[in-house]
Amino acid sequence: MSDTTALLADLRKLRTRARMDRQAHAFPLFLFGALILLAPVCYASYDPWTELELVPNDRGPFPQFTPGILLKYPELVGWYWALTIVGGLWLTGWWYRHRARRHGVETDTRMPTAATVAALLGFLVWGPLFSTLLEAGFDDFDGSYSTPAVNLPILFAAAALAVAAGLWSGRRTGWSRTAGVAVAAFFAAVAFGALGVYFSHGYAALVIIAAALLALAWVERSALLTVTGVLFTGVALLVNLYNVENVFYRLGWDSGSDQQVVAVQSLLPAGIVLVVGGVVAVVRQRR
Amino acid sequence: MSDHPTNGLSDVVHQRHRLGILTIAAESKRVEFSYLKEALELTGGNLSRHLTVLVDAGLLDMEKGYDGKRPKTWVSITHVGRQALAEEIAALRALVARHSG
Repeated sequence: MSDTTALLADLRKLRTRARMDRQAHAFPLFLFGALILLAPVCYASYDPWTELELVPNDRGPFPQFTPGILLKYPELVGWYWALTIVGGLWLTGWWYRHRARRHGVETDTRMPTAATVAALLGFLVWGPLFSTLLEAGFDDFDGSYSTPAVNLPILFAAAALAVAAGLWSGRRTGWSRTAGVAVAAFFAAVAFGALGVYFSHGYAALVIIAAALLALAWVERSALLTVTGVLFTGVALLVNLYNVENVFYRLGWDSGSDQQVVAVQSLLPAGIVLVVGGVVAVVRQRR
Repeated sequence: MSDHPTNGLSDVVHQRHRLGILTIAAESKRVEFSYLKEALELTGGNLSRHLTVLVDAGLLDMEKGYDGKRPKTWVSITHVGRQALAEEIAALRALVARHSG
């Protein structure tokens, strides 16, 4: 019987080795960490005391990615986050294929890619589409998606569907698992969008990046990436649902009304989590 | 009376190196010939023979291509292969449990 036990132990070793060899998450952690830390450059703001009459009531083409007030270039901020997600996703896919060619073993990134695209669609398409449908369907609809009677049922139904799809996909493999995770990510984004509509911090891109990292951690079976992804998700939810600048104010760093400083304070913790995760991943790979 | 666990062992899969190939392939989207050769400490000819058996049984897919001028052979596990591996591992575990219980 020791032969069978030894065989099972050998197979376990082979699986662990292949898993370690195909893990390549340091690159996406550094990439998204750097892009998040660079983002405040785009957040130039109006001076409310001298330029207030110039402030337009426009959040650009991606309102989910821009805070509602005082931004000089909301289009720039919106496009920065849209390109960060799409470009970051493309570069991550390229990196995994490149690394597979060098090392001979490849991680399947179809599921994280599908989850990220679905979360992006959930944020970008659902809100405007649903508002348009309501306006078309009801004469007395005031165009406000943030009416509790409208979006609270959507929040709970979408959250329930996300959980159901997530649990279902946990017991599947291959394409059905990919599809299940994509559906879960889409409804999670719809649920968060329905909740986040009460807040206008404009950091939905962080939630999409969090979904990408958690899906990547699942396919990589990486404890480090899971811990980093969970921490990052916590920070992403916090900056979307709470005024993080208040914490820094209590620590003695007052942002005033400067949106660039507010963006630095909001994005610094998220960027640091990813960069530190990337450093730990590199150190572990070199051991 | 329940079946003896050895009845669950497959003639095609129940071979140390083929189990190793399937285990590595199941862990990845696809794996390259030279990676398998090195990980399993096999000669090219030996590995080719095992791969042929597994591909013929429908447990693996094989894809030949080039990386620049270098020829590369990639293998990936099929749904049937994943199922066969899971059944084999379950049978081996049942065997160990039966004899140590």
